[in-house]
Amino acid sequence: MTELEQALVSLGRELDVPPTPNLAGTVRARIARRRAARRLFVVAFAVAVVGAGIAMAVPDARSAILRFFGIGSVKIERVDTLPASRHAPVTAGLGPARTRAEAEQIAGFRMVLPGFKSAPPLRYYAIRGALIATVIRSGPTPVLLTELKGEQTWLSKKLVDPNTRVEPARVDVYDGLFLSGGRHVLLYQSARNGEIRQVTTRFAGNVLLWSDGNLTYRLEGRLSRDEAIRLANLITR
Amino acid sequence: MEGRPLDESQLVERARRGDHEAYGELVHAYQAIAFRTAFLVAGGATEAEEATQEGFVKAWRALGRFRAGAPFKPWLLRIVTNEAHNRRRSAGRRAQLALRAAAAEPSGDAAPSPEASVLDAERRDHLLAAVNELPDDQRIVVSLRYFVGLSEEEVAETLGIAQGTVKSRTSRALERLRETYD
Repeated sequence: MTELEQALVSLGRELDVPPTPNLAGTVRARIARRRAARRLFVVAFAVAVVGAGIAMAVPDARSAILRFFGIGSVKIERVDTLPASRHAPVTAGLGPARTRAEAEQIAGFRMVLPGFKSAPPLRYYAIRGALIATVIRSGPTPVLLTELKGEQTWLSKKLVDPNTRVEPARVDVYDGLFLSGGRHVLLYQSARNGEIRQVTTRFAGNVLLWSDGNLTYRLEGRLSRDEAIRLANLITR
Repeated sequence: MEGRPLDESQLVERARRGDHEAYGELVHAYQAIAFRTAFLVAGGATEAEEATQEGFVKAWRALGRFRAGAPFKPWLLRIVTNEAHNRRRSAGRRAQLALRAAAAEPSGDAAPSPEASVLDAERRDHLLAAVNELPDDQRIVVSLRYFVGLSEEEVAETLGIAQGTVKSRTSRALERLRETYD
């Protein structure tokens, strides 16, 4: 080791590094909670799939809303008849385009973005205190990345028809869902004075959803399951 | 538990089978190095604590993909480092390392001479400033190599880059630092 390298090692000993917090207890508690949540997620998914199959097979039950489950801030419901919807740009209902800083200020949290080989997006969209979005791949087949804060506020709702496939997907170490095929409708909701207001209703492309703590990620575009997961892993990384 | 303590591979194997206690021992064993690594990458105590905690939780969930017999430390540090990177990116700031208050003051001890100590303190301050000025990729390699004490191979594994890249980044960083130090 050269003198300079020795000096660096010695410098390392004198750095102002805070004392190590004791994490063993917290980590063990979080592991136990996550294990319980995962068990619930798997059971909920299985019950929902079986329930949807049974209900669709029974004519009387077809008109009923088959209440599904949520992931993070997104709620998914399988319905027999979709509400009136329109084809609209992926950013419909998200307000005007803003700079990243403006959008983050409105949303109240910072967006996690993948590393970009070229310049990062310039336009961002936000719903106050709740959601931030940007088109991470533009062109004829855009890909929209949306991040939603809050675990149980149902900021976004997906209504799926019987032909939509909903399958579990794994993003890094997080549980997720991939929705494809059929027609599915996206609603954004916002709460004002305790009342839920529907912001927009549009048809959506394939969607990958996953949740990391109190942040829910949503990738939408003409993506295969593998493509979506590959992209999602770059964001979660 | 009676008998000799379990070694790392036994703890990892038990943790892979769902043993929380075994994983708790691994957390206890590696939390200091994981936190130090996270702090050097993220640059803030809060971000480092969050990154370390999240890293341990993610590592637990990813244990099924851990290659049996592989060293646990760099695998864990890779997860923690990714978390720390994300937090630093979200915070939008660059890590700036500083000296402990006691270390920042010139020593009044008799040996070596006060003049030599002051000189050492100056050189040390310049060296730290130069480290802080390094491009991110070089600064992180230097931090892991000399401030955390990882081998080249471990740094490569932790950052998910080739060992040759670690060598070249280290070499370029040392070349820059030498200009300040010599």
